[in-house]
Amino acid sequence: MNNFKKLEDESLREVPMPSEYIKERIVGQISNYRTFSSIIDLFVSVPFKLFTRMMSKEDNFNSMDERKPPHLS
Amino acid sequence: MTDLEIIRLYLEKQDSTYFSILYTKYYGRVYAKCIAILKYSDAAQDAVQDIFTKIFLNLSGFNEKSQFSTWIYSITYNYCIDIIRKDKKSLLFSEDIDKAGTVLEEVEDVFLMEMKLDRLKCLLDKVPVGDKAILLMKYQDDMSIKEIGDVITKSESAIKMQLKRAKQKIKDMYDELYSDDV
Repeated sequence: MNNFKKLEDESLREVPMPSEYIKERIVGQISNYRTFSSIIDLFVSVPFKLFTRMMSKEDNFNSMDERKPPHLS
Repeated sequence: MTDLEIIRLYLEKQDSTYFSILYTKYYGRVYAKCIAILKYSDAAQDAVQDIFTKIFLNLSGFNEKSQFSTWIYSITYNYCIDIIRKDKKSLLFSEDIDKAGTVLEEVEDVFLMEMKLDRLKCLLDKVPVGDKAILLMKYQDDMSIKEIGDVITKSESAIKMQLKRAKQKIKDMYDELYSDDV
């Protein structure tokens, strides 16, 4: 084992026990982030997808319209 | 269970039990690295919280090319170095204080490995934190030059030069402080 790894082992002896308080806060932060992401997904991405789908349908309709023979327009 | 199996289970079930296993396993080493770079326990604890949050939010991005431990340590060093960069009060690398045109001689690894432990610890606390981080990544965590470069956002040749400078700095300080023993 090299000197640097020995130093790490030495410093690990002084490290406090894994903090439950920090763990709870991390779990809370992660769940908040997930909730926020799903809200964004629900209120932004889904309507955006619907909107783009509608627009593409409208484009298709218009392009079909352009392709109509002159005597029908 | 291996780290990879735990990660897959966590991603599949989103169960915090799997998070706890990895958190308990890596907390000590992540904390030790944070305190080595940031020096204060309050700053280290805040950093540990942010680092683990970052790790678990980006877990699906872990590409399994490197070891999970190396990935975690890269995020840890990257986070701590960013804090020091933003702080701007302390020097990050020794190049900032080196005189231009100084010729560096190669310091052999054996010099660092045969040094008394308390002396190495003392000298590591005296070099700029960026140099210390590079030395820890290389010799403590066995990270490759490329992996270190990705953390520090420098080219491989720049990292090699930085490593050389850091070892030289340690050697110079050693000669200065312990010249009686040399």
